[in-house]
Amino acid sequence: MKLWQEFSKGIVNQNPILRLVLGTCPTLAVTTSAINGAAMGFAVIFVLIGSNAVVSLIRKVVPDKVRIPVFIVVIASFVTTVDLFMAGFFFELHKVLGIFIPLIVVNCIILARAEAFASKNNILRSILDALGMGTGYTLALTIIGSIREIFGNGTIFGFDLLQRLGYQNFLIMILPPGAFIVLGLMIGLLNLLSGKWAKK
Amino acid sequence: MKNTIMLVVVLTIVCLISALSLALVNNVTASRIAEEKHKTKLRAVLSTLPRDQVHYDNDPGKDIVKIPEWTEKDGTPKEIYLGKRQDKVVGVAFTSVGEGYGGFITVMVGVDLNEKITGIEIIEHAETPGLGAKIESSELFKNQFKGKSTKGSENGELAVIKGRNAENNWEIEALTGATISPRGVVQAVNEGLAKFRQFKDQIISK
Repeated sequence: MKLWQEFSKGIVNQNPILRLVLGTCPTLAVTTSAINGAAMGFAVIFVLIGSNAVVSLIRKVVPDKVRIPVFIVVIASFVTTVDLFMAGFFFELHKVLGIFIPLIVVNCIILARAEAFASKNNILRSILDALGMGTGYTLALTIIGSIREIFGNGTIFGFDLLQRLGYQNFLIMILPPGAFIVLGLMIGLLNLLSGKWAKK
Repeated sequence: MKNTIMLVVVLTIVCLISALSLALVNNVTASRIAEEKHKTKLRAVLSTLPRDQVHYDNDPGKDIVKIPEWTEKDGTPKEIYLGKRQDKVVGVAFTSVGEGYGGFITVMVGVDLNEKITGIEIIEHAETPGLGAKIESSELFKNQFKGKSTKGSENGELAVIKGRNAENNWEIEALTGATISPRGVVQAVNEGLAKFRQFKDQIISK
């Protein structure tokens, strides 16, 4: 696979949320607003690049039997690092995301890429894979978060959009059912569009 | 046998490196995190003891007392912030912890000498963004507490009500779509008030 494709596959074709449908728990929980989704996405990009890089570096010396514990320790270390750095240097953002940062450890996407890709490929490809998957993840989260925020709160990234028009908040959009609905519709939409693009 | 040894060795090395790196990261960030937490606390103190209502002339951040019997969860004595006018205590602020929907809620409570609440601020919480988290983001919710007290209530505590407006000075209206979070806040406030009552004389005399 060409190097560019290693990166771009994670944006649409193998988008972790909309195609691979991985890490749906944090997706549903974090996308209550656009900024929450985007910030979470950036934290995940950092962890993905770090863990993919390290796993790829040590892939030849880690015995098969202990690879999962090793991967988890690596991932948890990067997540803790992100958590501590955000608490120290991006305090407002850290407060906004709160418990969802430590929860990145159990985000299936990270372990899936480590196991399915980084443990079997060289470090350059692993980093590109991480970048692509992370970017696709962030885009999906931000879009879902934006939709839920606009309909559920009348704002986008905290800025008023519909409130001044007397918009009544569609409360269900920021509740769990709304998350499922938006996610499902987006997956369906992507499938529909992909079908059309393939035909061209 | 050799395979087993390799498993142990690799795992140990990975964990060692992880622990060392995290210790390093912690070293770099610990003081900044403590600083931010302290700044948040101070901001909360000034917000819960409004100067134009409690009329104090000191800096509460510098007038901190500790009562050995009133402790945080980890056993360390709680920091109690004093607002003084001409060296006499007129207002007190302290943190208190309650159980919310997603975890503990830390509330800063400001009271005057009549045990009337002068304001609350949410220091830490793990509530649902957009719902329970409104205990922090909604000024309307927090402002409710101003002027409230437990005087006249049956059990000497504030209570959360839904479905109607608050009629009595011990009632707090819940948030739409979130009752457990406000209850956690009120639980924290009630516990704090109870402790304040218990040690009031000691605190005022400092």
